[in-house]
Amino acid sequence: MNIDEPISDGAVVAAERTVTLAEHWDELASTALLGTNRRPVAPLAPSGPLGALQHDAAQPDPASDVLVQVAALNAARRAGVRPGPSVARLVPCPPDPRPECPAHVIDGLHQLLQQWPELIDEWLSGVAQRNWRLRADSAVLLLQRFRTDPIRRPVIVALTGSLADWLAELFPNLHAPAPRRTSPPATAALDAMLPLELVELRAIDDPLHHAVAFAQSISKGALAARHRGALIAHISQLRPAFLMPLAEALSRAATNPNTMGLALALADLAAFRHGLITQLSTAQPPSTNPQETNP
Amino acid sequence: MLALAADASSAAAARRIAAASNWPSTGCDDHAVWGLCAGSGREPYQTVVELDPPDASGPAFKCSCPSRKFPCKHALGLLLLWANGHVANSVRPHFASEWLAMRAARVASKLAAAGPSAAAAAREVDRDAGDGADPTPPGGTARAGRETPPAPPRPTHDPVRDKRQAERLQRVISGLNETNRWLADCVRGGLTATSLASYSTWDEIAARLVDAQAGSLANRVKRVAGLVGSGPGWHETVLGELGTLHMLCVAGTRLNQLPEPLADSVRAALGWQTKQADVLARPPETDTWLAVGRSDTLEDRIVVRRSWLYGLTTHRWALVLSFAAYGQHLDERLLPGVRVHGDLHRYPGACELRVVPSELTFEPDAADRAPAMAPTTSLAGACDHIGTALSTVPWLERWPVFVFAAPTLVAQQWVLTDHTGTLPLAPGQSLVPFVAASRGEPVAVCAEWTPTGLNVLAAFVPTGGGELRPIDVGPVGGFHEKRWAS
Repeated sequence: MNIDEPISDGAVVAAERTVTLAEHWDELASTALLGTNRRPVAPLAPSGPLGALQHDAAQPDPASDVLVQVAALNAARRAGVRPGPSVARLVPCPPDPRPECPAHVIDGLHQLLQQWPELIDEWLSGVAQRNWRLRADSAVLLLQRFRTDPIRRPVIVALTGSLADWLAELFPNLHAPAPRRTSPPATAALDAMLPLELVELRAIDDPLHHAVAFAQSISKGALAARHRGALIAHISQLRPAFLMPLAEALSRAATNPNTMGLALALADLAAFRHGLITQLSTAQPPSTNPQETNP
Repeated sequence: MLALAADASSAAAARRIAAASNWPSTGCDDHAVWGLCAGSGREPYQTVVELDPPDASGPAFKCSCPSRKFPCKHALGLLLLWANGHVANSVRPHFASEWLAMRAARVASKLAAAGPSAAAAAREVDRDAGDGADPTPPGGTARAGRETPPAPPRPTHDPVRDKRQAERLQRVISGLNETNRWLADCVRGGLTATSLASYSTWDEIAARLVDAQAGSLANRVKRVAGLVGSGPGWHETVLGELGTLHMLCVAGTRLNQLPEPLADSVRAALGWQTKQADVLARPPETDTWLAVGRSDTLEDRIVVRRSWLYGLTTHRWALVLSFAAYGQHLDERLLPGVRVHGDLHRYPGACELRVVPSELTFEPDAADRAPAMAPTTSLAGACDHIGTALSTVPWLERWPVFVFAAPTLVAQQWVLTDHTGTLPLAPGQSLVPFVAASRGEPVAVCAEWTPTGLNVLAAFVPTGGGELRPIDVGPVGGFHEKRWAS
C-alpha cells in the first residue's frame, strides 16, 4: 500500500473530499495531539477496506472513534512499508593492504578490557609489531573508549589506518577533543613511594627466586592491597619468563584468608599476561582482503 | 494479584519489592516460585509461593520474615516478579522443596479423607499446574537439551481448570477494558497533557495490567512512556502505539471470535505464557540453523537477548530468547556465524518466530569457520516480507531481514540503500560499528525491522578466501560488556 495513494470516493462511507492516507493520518495526529475535547474529528472517512472497517467499528464517542481509525491506519502504514527513492552511495573507505588482526587476538582484547585493562599498551604494541590493522568493530570500540587519551589514541588511529579518518568524517563525535596540557608522570617520585620489598624484588634476576620472594611478601603482608597499583605495574613490566613461575607461586601461597584475594588476583594477572604474549606471538596473520587490496 | 494483599500498604510494599535487584536468588518450576529476599535481617528471607495447590485453594505462601501479615510483602513481591516474567526456571532449593513436600503430604491426607474422586482430581490439577499461566520464563528456551519432557495431553473437561481459566479470563478482560478507557481518555485530553509526560502515569496503568496478568502488554505500555517528547514527531509515534494498544485491548476481549493462531498471537502479546512443555510437544522443525544476528535489550532490569536463526533448508526464521538478571550471564552460544543442527519447536501463533530448541548439535569450531550463508534479499523484497508479517500480526514490534545493501547518509539520516531504494536505519549503538564494518560498500546485513527503522545486528564481510565473516554489531543492553563474535 502506498501511503500517498489517493483514496477514491467510496460507496460505504461518503467522505467530504478525497484524501491520501498521509493526509488522513496527519488529520488524526493533529486531533490526537490537541485532544478531541478541543479539536473535533474531521469528517474524513477513507473508502476501500479502511473505510469499511471504520464504518463497521464506528464509535459514538469521538475519542474512541479516533482510536479505531488510528489503529487501522497505523497497521496499514506499517504493513505498507516500501523503500524510499534510491540515493548515491558513500565514497568507500580507501583500502588498507595490511592484514587484519586475527579473530582470536580480538577475543583476547575483549577479555583484556574486561579483566586487565592495564595491559592494553602491551596488546596495542603487539598488534603494531606484527603490522596488523584493527578489525572494524574493535577499531570503533577502541576509538570510542580511548577518544580522550592523548597517548593511546594516536596508536589506535595508526592501527585502524584509513578507516579512522574515513569514520571521523562521517561521525564527528569520533574526533579527538582538543589536546589538554598534561604533565609528564613523576616516575621518580612514584618510585620513592614504592615499598621496599618491591624495590628489592625488581633487582632479582632469577624467575623462580623472584616468584618465591614475591609470594612470601604477599603472605607476610609486606605487600598488601594498598600496594595493588604498584604490584600490577610491576607484573605488567616483568619479562615473559617470570610470569608463569610467579602465577604458580602466588596460587600456592593463597592460603591465608587475609591475603588470598590479592594473591589470586595477581596470579590471574600473571597468567593472563603470559597467555596474551603467547597469543600475540603465535597468531598467524590471515591473508589480505582482495576487496580492499583490489577495489 | 494484589487483591491477595492483606491491605493497601502490603500491596504498595509488594510493588516496591518486586524488583529483581531485591532478590539475589530466585527460581521457579511448574508448581512453585521461590526466592531469597534481602531484608533488614542478616540472613535473606526465604520465600516460597505454591502457585496451584492440589486442593485448588489458591496460591499458598511461606516466608521466613517476621511479618504477621499474610501473605507478606515478600511473597506478594515475589509473585509480581514472577508474573512479570523475571523469574527463571531452576532446580528447587532445599528450603522450597522441604516446605512443598510437607504441604503436598498434608493436602494429600486431607483429600484422601474426602474420598478417592477428589484425590484423583487433585492429581490432575497438580499435573496441569499453571494452566496458561506458564511460570517458565522465556529465558528457559535457551537451555536446550535440559528441558522437561512434554506433558501428557490435557483432559478435555476439567471443571476446576475451566473455572480457573474463566476467572483468569475475566481478570484479563477487566484490565483490558480499563486500559482501553484510559487510552480514550488520552486521546480526549490530547497527547500534550502534562500527565502523559510523567512516567508514573504510564507505570500506573502498567501495574493495573500486571494485576490483570497481562504482563507483556504492561511492558509495552512502559515502552511507550519513553517515547513521549523523545524527538520531532514523537506524537505520531506515540499515537501509533496507542492505536496498537487499542487493537490489542479489543482483540483480547474477543479471543473466542478470532482464528486460533491469531488468538494465540494475541495471548502472547498480552502476556499469557505458553507452557514450555506444550511447546515441546508440538512438531519439531529440523534443519541446519545459522545464527545470523543478536540483540540485547534491557527491560525492567532484565537483559533480554534475541538470537535470530535462519533455517538453511526450510528458509524460515526462528527466534531464541534468553534472559539474565544482574550478575547472571547470557547465553553466548548462538552468536552470529554459529551453525547448529537440530529441532526447534515453534510457539503457537500466526507468524510466530519464537522457538524452544531441543537436541541441538553445535557444529564443531563453527565460530572459526565461515558459515554457509543464508540468501539475502533486496530492500524491496525485505519490505514484502515485513508487510506480509505485519498484515497478519499488526502489533509486531520487530521482524528479521537479511539484505545486501550499503549504508549511506541522506539529509543527516542514515539509511540502507540498494538498487531498489532505501530504508531508514534506526539510531543506536550498532550504527558506527556497522558502517565501519561495511567500509561504505554493500554487505550482507542482518537487521530487525522496527517501527523506527532497521536495527542492524550483524554484517557479513568478505574475507581473503572469498568467504563471508560475520561481525556482530548488535546492541547490548544494560550491565553486560560488549563481546563481539569472532
